[in-house]
Amino acid sequence: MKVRGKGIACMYFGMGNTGKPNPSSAFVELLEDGTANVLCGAADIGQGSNTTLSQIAAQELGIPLEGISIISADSAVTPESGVSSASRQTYISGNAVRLAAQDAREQLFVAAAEMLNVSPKRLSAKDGYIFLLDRPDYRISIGEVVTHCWRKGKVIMGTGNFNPGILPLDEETGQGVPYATYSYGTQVAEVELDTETGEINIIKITAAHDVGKAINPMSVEGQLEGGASMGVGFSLAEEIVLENGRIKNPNFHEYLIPTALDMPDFDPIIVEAAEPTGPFGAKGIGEPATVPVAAAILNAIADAVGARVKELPNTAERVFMALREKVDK
Amino acid sequence: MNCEKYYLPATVEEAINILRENQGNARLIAGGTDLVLQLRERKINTKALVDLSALKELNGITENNGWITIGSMTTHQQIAASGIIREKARVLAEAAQSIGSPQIRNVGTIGGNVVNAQPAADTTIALMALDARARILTNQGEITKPVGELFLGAGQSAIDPTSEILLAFDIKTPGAREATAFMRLAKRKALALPIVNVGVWLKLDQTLSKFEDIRIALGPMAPVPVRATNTEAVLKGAPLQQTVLLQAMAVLEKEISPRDSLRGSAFYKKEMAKVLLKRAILVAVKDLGGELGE
Repeated sequence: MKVRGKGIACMYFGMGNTGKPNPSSAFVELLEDGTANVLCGAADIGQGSNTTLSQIAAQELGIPLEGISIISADSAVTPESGVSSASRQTYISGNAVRLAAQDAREQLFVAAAEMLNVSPKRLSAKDGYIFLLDRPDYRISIGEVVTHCWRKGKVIMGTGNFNPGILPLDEETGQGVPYATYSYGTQVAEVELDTETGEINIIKITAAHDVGKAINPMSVEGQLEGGASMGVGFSLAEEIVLENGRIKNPNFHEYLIPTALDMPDFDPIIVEAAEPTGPFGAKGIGEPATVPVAAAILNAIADAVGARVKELPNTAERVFMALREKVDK
Repeated sequence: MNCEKYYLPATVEEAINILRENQGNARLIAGGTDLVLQLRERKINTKALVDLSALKELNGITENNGWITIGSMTTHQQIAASGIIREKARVLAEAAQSIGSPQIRNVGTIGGNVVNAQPAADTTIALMALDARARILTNQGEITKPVGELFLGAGQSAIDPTSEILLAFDIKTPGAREATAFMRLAKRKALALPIVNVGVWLKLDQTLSKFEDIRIALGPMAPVPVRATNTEAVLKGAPLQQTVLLQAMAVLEKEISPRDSLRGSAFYKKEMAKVLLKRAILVAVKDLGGELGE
């Protein structure tokens, strides 16, 4: 017989390293053609940090995205940004890049204000131009300002450095401020369960996550789906089997990760509750999407059959045994 | 891998001659999906490989005079997609479809699957349910053996790949009131070895109220693929009834001896063998328009 169930799980997750300084830094250099180079140590391992950091720089500088060149994770030239872990790069390196871009923009506005004979406070920048806030047609291109500065012997170069506001944890009491901010999320799993075999078919996972501000909504959705799909593996299959300290399944035909056929439908929902200390309100979403998946699935199993699996992965055999125990009682 | 020579014969005769000349130092390779890994891990060593993939005569599915013939070099994909097999030997079409991934099915062959001699090789289980005959070219000429007699132990085939060539499998074209079914349980939906697989062939009597005959093959229940002959005996001639099915499941439990493995405990495998047997029988019976009474 096939039965269905739904389960809910919630989580919160700290951004960055726990109770430890984990700063990031960036350089932003403006060029005479009105484009900018961004240098940041953050490694883009496929999650899209290069795009996100470029968008942050473009927004802050008023330069179109195609005018941003980013060099990242090249320790020969990029400043230290810490590792791509702990869901920290958007929040921490995003801040470093934003601060570096702000620094460069302030220098740019000082020069532009001189050229336009106005106060820097009256200036804004967009689409590659610096203009008067109250007279947008009165404008000058960023390239012109940079060229002007270069001729006067000045390079416009901003630096940014951000460390999340943590307080180290007391070794005895554990008290402190482990993280500067947290990401929140709730997921709903819908499963179909075969009561004779214990097989589970995950039909759908709805993942609603607070990301502060989605700098790049499509990549946030990708992170939500990717993170949730890893959670599916954690829930259903992935297990390191040890015997006398040796791994019994040290290869991918015995350590199984889900295939495309094992994947449910995903419905990612982006929630935006701006984080005051984040770049444009943004927080991280790398790991949070993985966290509640297994709990939601286990709750869905309990909802479907009234039996609880208390061990991961919740393989068909473990579900079958949980059903047996329930019947025996 | 320390193989020094690679032969690509154009005829079966040329292939057997190469094997003979090399006196045990040359070994056949079919799709290579298992063998190449075994060579790389040095579980198998050979000085020369003889690739059968150019032998058109070993590839393909034909039907003549009440027999379906499947060349040993026919790929899993060809079998899964074959109209003849899908219509007349469903158990084999579904077994071939369940193997590995599209890449493996496009390269791996039915002959290789059988000679690799794993206890739960999907096409082997289906061939045993179908009571297929293997045609083998040996030094003494061509011989025929039931597929069930080709296994000596886990990974040990009765066919010597350094001197004998598996040519084809012959299956009787099913008659009226005959149907087959394949059931498989694995840890994920693709690219996973079976926890349990079951192949069933059955024939109902004229009134569709009794099992006239049945064959049940299962893996991995022993070092070699097995037929559940005691269970078959319970069902042969018995009426199509749930109680009969329950009796058969109870006998099956005593007849099989799976072991604990990473894929599942012996207990779970036994339980699943019973469930899959029941499901396979129900599917095959339903296929013939039959129904199980209380």
